[in-house]
Amino acid sequence: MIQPKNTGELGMEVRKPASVEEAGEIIRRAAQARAAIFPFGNDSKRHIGFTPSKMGLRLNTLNLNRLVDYPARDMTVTVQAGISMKLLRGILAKEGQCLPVDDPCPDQSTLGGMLAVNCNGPRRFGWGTLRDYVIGISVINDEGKETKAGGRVVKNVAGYDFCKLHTGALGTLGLISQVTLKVRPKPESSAMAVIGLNQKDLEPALDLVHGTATRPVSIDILNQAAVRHLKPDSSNASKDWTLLIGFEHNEKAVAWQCETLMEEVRQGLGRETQVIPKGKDQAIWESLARFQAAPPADSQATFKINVAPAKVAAFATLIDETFPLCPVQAHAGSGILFGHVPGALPFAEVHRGIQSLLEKAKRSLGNLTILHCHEDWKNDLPVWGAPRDDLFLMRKVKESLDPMGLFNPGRFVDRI
Amino acid sequence: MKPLFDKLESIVGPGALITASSELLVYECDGFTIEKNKPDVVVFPKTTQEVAEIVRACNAFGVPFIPRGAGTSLAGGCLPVGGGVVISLARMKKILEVDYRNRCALVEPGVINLWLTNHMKPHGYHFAPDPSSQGACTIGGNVATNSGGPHTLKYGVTVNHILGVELVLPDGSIVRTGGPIEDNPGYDLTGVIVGSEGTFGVAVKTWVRITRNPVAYRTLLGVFETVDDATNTISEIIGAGIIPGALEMLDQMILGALEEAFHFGFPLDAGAILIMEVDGLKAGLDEEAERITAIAKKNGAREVRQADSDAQRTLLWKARKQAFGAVGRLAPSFCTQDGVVPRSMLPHILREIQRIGKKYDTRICNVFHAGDGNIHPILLFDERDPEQVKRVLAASHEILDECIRVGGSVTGEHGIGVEKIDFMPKLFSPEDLGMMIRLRNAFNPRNNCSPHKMLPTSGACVETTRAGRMAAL
Ligand SMILES: Cc1cc2nc3c(=O)[nH]c(=O)nc-3n(C[C@H](O)[C@H](O)[C@H](O)COP(=O)(O)OP(=O)(O)OC[C@H]3O[C@@H](n4cnc5c(N)ncnc54)[C@H](O)[C@@H]3O)c2cc1C
Repeated sequence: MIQPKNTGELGMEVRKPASVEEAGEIIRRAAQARAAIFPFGNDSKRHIGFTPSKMGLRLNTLNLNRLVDYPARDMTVTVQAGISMKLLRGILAKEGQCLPVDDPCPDQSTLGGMLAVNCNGPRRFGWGTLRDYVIGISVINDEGKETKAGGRVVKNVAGYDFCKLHTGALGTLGLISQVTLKVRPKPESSAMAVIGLNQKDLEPALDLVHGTATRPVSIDILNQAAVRHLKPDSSNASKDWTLLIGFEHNEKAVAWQCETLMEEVRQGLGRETQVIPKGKDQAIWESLARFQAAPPADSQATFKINVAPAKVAAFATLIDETFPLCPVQAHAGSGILFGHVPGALPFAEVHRGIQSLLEKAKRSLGNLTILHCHEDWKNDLPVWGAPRDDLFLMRKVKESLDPMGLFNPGRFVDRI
Repeated sequence: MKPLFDKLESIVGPGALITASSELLVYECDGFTIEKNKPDVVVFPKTTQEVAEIVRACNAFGVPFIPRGAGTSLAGGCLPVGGGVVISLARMKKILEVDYRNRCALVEPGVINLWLTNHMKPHGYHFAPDPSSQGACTIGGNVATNSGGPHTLKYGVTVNHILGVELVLPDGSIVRTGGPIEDNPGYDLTGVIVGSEGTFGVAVKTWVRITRNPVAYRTLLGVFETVDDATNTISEIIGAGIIPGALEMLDQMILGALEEAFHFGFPLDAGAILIMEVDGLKAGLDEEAERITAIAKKNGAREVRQADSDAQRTLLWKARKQAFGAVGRLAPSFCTQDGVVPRSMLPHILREIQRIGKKYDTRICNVFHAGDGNIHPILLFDERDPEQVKRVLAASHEILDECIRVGGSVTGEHGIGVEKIDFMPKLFSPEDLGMMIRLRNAFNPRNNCSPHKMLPTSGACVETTRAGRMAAL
């Protein structure tokens, strides 16, 4: 991992409130003093976004970690936002339930951090993204008051859906203090189908999976460098690309899907499929989820490209060409790609490569963002990609909900 | 008003506006008929540009405006409270693009929900939100109300299927949020526009996610002696970790009306029936259906039938989706309520509904999205009798209060509209509502778009201008 040189928030004073009231009081005082508030949990996501534009307090949420209510039969859970995801997963697992959202930092994440960053992974193709599971939210506003939206029932259209607005807002609209999630039964079974591909097979393979008679919950590709990075001893490391297709369902349905896909791949691509069965597949799901947050030790920057799913093969190849030896992963069904820029490249070259990828993504109506890089590169790299058409409206929302720029100032899109 | 009418006519052309009092009657309310008010004029734009010009004209003349789709709202979402201009999206009804490879479609707001699904049928795709009104309601209306439907239990409500919106803002400017490509960095404005009940502007285009059709269905009809047995079954199915495609309950009174209308062969002596459908791949589906059957039987189901043909399944769903229509056979007027409780509270709330019906001497039948805990008690009355209207309102309110008391909500899918404004302070604190007003101010600062909807305006303590004041400091 890169240790940022310009430490940004690191020099600031830290507070760790033991209650929502205390957090509210800290925020109220900060507002009076015109200082800023930088919420954090285990610090696994501090590298995301720009360097703060203002000094202030770092507010640690780890003590706001209570399980508030878990009526398992209703399949909802209400927790304080500082709860660790590991703990939450454990609580849900005891009831045979889960939040089917992948966690790139499974040992460190807090729910609040996941939400602020809108963390998702391979399963998003089949199960949707984090926003789909947030049904209630409490947020401490710029006056230090806890305000709520949504509720604790799975269907509810009373009032504006702040749950969506705060998900992925990088904590710039308030401190998320409590969350109600809709959860799901843990799938009875799962399996991962793995197929090695040559470069020329990549696009046809993704087209084939698009039309498969099965219903994958994840469709990922890894290039050679990524396979080596995740699993140095892999037998597929000799192929240009590895296609990994995940299934989660009851036992019969998973078995049928593996067989069907195997046959489809044999007929359509003349390739063999290796099926990793339930139990043994867990490590693969996990590494696919971790990839975006786990660059090789010498990597200088991690970027994410979002494009139409049909363009994934083209962009994956493009990254491969732009940055040779760059580990590349794509959630192919969702149009999301990640790359870790390899070490030793001079900044100018990294910059040129990133800009050229961004331009191409833009031309395809997509975008490119930087998830991770040296802190002092952030002034020159397109951290949040190209601005969107609705930036003016985003600004109005920010001005309306956080008029003084109290929360995470400077870090998010357009240094909002 | 003449100058405004002239201006509007110059924008949309002759034949695309209504000003005659007799014709305006149609627009004095929507599916919620308890309150009525005529607009001054209804316009029918055909393009985004026309909508923007209409909105600018409304601003110039200082009149409020309100978007309208098919007018099937059951909460008075289309009620032009202070008069003004109704912008009907009925003529913007093109499916602009369907991109199967990327699983999304771009549609105009007046496209009827079912058209889109029918359009994609040959390709094996559909639009997942399937409100019972899907043969009439528009995608624009679905977006504005964040509609649900029987199959949203498994597939999610409208907001889970909307990727982006083109919106004419209340000042007449045009903005695009989101789009066909996922994860564009920035605030999820699309996520809050969905469900904003027309208070953020007029949706003129929508990017929707499209979903592959299930390969197979097993549609079961569970017949129960009592409502309690049926609701216990629902609780237990969900509790057992099974998420069916749909899980709908119908009680005895509605069954009678449906049987008369559709001759499906519903058992008229049953206390309640459940429509329990599992869908997806063929593999493993029978096992799921068997588990559900076993749970139903264990909870006292007298019989569990399986629809044995596509035709039978279609007829069953037709009967379910037109249930509200059949209610006309039971009484001259009815009020469909919409509340939500945690699923495990279903047995309790249905007993309460029964008690409240007796207390107010009002007949209430039930047909609803049981799997989500989303109840739809239908209160029967005769709107010509003011005494009955009063009782129906009182009974409705008592039911909704009970939903709140057990941790639920006063609307699962129909929206707050004008009907439920008074419940907002019961669900939310003044601070919560203050944040909602602040958010509305970002989109609709003059509150000239769908005014008097969704958020209470009386009780000045709530409508603060806090944000403005803070910013000015
Ligand atoms: C028989 C019956 C059954 C129903 N079943 C269901 C059900 O199962 N699930 C469910 O969720 N609802 C149901 N409803 C309620 C209703 O059909 C839905 O709310 C539907 O989405 C409304 O669509 P519409 O086109 O009729 O919108 P309208 O009634 O015309 O408008 C509804 C609201 O949306 C706003 N609006 C409409 N178009 C736009 C636009 N383009 N831009 C911005 N705002 C707009 C309006 O101002 C209004 O506030 C039912 C209604 C009936 C009559």
